[in-house]
Amino acid sequence: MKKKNEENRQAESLEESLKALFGEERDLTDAELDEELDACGIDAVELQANAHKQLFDYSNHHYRTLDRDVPANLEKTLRALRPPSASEKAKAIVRTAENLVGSFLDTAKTKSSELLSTTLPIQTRQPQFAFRNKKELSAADKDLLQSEQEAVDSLDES
Amino acid sequence: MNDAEYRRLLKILTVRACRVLRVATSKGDDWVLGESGKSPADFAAETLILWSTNQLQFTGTHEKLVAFLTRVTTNAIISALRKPAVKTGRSGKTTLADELTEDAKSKPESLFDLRSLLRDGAFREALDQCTADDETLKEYVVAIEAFEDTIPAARDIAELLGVPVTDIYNRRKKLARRLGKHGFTESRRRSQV
Repeated sequence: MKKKNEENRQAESLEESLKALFGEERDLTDAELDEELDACGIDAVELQANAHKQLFDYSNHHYRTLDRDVPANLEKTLRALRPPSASEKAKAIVRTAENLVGSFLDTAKTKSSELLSTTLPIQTRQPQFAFRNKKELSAADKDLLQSEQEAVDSLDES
Repeated sequence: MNDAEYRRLLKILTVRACRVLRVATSKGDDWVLGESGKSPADFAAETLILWSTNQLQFTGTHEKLVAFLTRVTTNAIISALRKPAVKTGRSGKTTLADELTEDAKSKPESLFDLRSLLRDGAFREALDQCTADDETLKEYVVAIEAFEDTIPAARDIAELLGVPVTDIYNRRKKLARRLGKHGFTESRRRSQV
């Protein structure tokens, strides 16, 4: 009993120190938990699979092989930690691929409209834009029109 | 609890086990993991087994359950650390773990008290190495030390440093990740050479 009390005291003291230095684990988001696990060299997916195996072995050894009922909470924990089956993995891959393609198309659409709006002159964004709508012709344009007109006139005269 | 909450609980317990093991094993030769060879993930899974098979009785909110199970994990590690521990005194005499308990109890300050930890050579060295290239983390550790008699809350440290509380939360997370990556064992090994 004395030993337990001592352990509790040490645990309590350590908890306070951990909280002061690093904050509480339950305040971390899932992504932050994954990040810290990763920093400690633990892969979150492997962690779940290994924990499931330990609990599964325990339930076999202490309940199923003895023909005893597995406690409801252990069943629930096992179900929650069960690694995805092959078909679930395949579905997840398809879902990820679909999302990737979708986001790729969205990005392409956004980028092309951004390019159109920033790189082309304002007149060219109007579909009806054409040479004939020009209000003022340049000297080159005038020369071109003049030579075309002369060619047409000379054909008529002949 | 839904499936996601169970999975999150496992992660929380494992992160707790990582933190406890790294800090506790930094306390020098008196606190070693011995022959148990358990990983942080093993301690987390054991806690889940105890709870899910009703060997731990708890009724309360989900929040309180998480706090309760993280405490159980901490206790289990402290217990595992103490069981095989032997202490070699100046005379070279080996003391059994149970005798160590009495010895520790006679000390007014807990071995894992924040002040005691910050004064510990190996722990301090690990902290210094993890904060060496980051002024904000160095400042954070110094600020904690400035609170002589109390364990400061994030708000107290934020006020002292004149920064938003969220900034302190971020520094804490960063420090935890760095210490996780660094590992205290390496630091102790180097300091003994």
